[in-house]
Amino acid sequence: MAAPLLPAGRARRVAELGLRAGCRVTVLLRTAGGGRVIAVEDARIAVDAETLRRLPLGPLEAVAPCRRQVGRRLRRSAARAGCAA
Amino acid sequence: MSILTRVAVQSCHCAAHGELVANGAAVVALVGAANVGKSTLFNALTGARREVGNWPGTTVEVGRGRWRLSGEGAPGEVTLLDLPGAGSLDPLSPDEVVTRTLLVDVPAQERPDLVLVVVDASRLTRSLYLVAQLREFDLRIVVGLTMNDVATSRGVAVDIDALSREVGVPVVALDPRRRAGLDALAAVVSSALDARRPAVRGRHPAAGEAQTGDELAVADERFAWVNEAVTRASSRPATSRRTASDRVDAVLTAPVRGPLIFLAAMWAVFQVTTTVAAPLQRALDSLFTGPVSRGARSLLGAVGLGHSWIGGFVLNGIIAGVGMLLTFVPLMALMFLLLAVLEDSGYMARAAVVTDRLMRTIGLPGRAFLPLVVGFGCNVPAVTATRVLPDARHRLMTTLLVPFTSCTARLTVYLLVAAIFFPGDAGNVVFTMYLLSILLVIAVGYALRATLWRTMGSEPLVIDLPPYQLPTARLAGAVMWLRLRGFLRTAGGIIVAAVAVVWLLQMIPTSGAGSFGDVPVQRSLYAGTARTVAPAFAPAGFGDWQAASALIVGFVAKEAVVSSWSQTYAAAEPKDVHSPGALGASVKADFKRSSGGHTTAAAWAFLIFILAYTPCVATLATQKREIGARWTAFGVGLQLSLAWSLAVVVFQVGRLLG
Repeated sequence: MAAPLLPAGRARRVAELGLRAGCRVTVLLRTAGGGRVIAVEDARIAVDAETLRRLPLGPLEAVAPCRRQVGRRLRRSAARAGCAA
Repeated sequence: MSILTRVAVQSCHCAAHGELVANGAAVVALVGAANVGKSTLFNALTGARREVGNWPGTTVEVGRGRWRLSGEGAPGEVTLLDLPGAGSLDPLSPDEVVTRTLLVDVPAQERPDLVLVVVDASRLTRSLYLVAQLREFDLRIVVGLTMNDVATSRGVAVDIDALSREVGVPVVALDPRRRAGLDALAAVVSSALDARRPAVRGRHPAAGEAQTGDELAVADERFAWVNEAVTRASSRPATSRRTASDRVDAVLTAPVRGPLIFLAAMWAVFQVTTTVAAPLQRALDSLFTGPVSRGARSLLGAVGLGHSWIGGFVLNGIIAGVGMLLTFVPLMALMFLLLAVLEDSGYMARAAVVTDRLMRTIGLPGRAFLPLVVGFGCNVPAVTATRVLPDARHRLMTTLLVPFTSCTARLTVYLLVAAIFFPGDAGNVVFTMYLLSILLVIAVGYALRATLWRTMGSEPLVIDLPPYQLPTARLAGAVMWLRLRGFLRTAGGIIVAAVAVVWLLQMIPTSGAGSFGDVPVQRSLYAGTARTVAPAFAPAGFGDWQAASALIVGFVAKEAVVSSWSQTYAAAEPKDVHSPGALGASVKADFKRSSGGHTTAAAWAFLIFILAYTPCVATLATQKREIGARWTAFGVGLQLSLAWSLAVVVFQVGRLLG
């Protein structure tokens, strides 16, 4: 993940949760409301779609079984969110 | 930081430290991020019953307790402070400001003697950031490592000794849920209190440096320090494992199934509450109307007060009031227990995710769901729980919305009214009332956002999802008891007083009708007051004085509505709200008369008025403390005008249709 495109206070808060430049993020699930559950190390964090757009993710990785569940929709929405799939 | 925040911080600081100075014991401050088991550890160490659960930011006040450190050379008893949850010393919410202030912003001599940092072994990197910051100050620190079982199940192995070396302070493995490792922790804390403070690590930004590039550089340095410690002291699988919690989340947070399951869960909670509590309520009521009243009557008769007004006050004022309060205990206890199980299991965090979009429509973040859902139990703690929201406008708006969440006190009125007017259909009526309550919250929130707070942005949802856990009976029981005790303390006196005042008003005659203590209820001051107000409710179909008097008492506390009716109609309070008996027949007859035969429409209008108008004086007192008198008065005006308007619309439309 590259540096979050968020205001300083909010960037600091997501950094405390482990979401900071250079970290390895795995998108696990699509949630009600269009957000995602992402894995950062062993933590699971639910993020809304707007915030996810401000977290510049690199190549998208999904845990295999979850990828099957979410499928193309996840990839499309991730692409819309600015993540290279 | 606003003046209000400063005042809040200062008062909290004084409250916490005033007692500490007085008893002279060493002070240990318990800190940690949300969901690491901090409050559970506090309870395990002190025996105190503090709010515990899996919800981020559950702890919103500074708690205190006494922790006995046994063993040779131990300092005996220390004061343990349970500080609000914080993942760092960079505050965004008032609660986090309190934590920072108490730990590092106060003069060095006022800081705690030792800081016990609770660190989650399954999320080491994230949890250790707070340790990195605290190590930049001259503090004695001990790390309590929790969630070791979760870490192991995920293939994460932590070398305790290596971690202790890396972070430069003692580390103890704990399982507060099962009370494991507490003796070892006590021993380590005892020796750390006697030891010198560890050398301060690195540098910390000076005041005023926040929000600058330097500050961000310092944060990067801390993360690098944490990463190095974690790398050297732990090992983990190369790839993320998909956990059991992930598999459950794939269902519980899914776009369609998630909200449906959430609705089903809430429906089950209310069904279980209403069906299981009923026999317990009957048993308690029988106890008070039977043996307790008979015993008191005999006792009063023996001392010659059986037929005096004092006897009436004791029997119909005090015993009736206490009896009514206690019949609510099973209902409240069950509701609190079920909510505690949902919190402890980790589901509440998922509920916030599922409801986030809904909350956004009214400009509130998913986190605002917590106070609102607590409001369905009791509005009083719900108003206090708004402190989990960092934005002042979010707190204000949520506080104004909480009274529209249908608390359990209103449930008994729904049940009685449903049993009278919709026999055999009480479950559906109650469920409808709860759905209407949710719709009312959304509609009022939307209206407030569209009018008063047009510029309010919505806070992004970034919420930690703790692993699911099997709820423990001890923890759920402790939370239930804590909330029940709070309810009895907050509302108990008010309810008993309200019942006593109603009795007193019924004893005072108006315009020479009878004498004190010997007056028909229809000619008492109570009926006179209600008659003055009653015409206002005529357009809603319940413009008789009996209904008006119940609503007046309900302003004080909704729990008193049923007993007020029983006093008004001089009928025995129903043993079971599902079988209203003579009281039901009287109420139905009056509604039929006042509504011109449109009884069903009037009953729905009455239910909606009960739902929407001011919940109780205890909620008002709490609101005044949180948002001030002006906004509280605004809220009361909003509730009364909305309740009246909705009741009138429902009755008039119902009359036209029916």
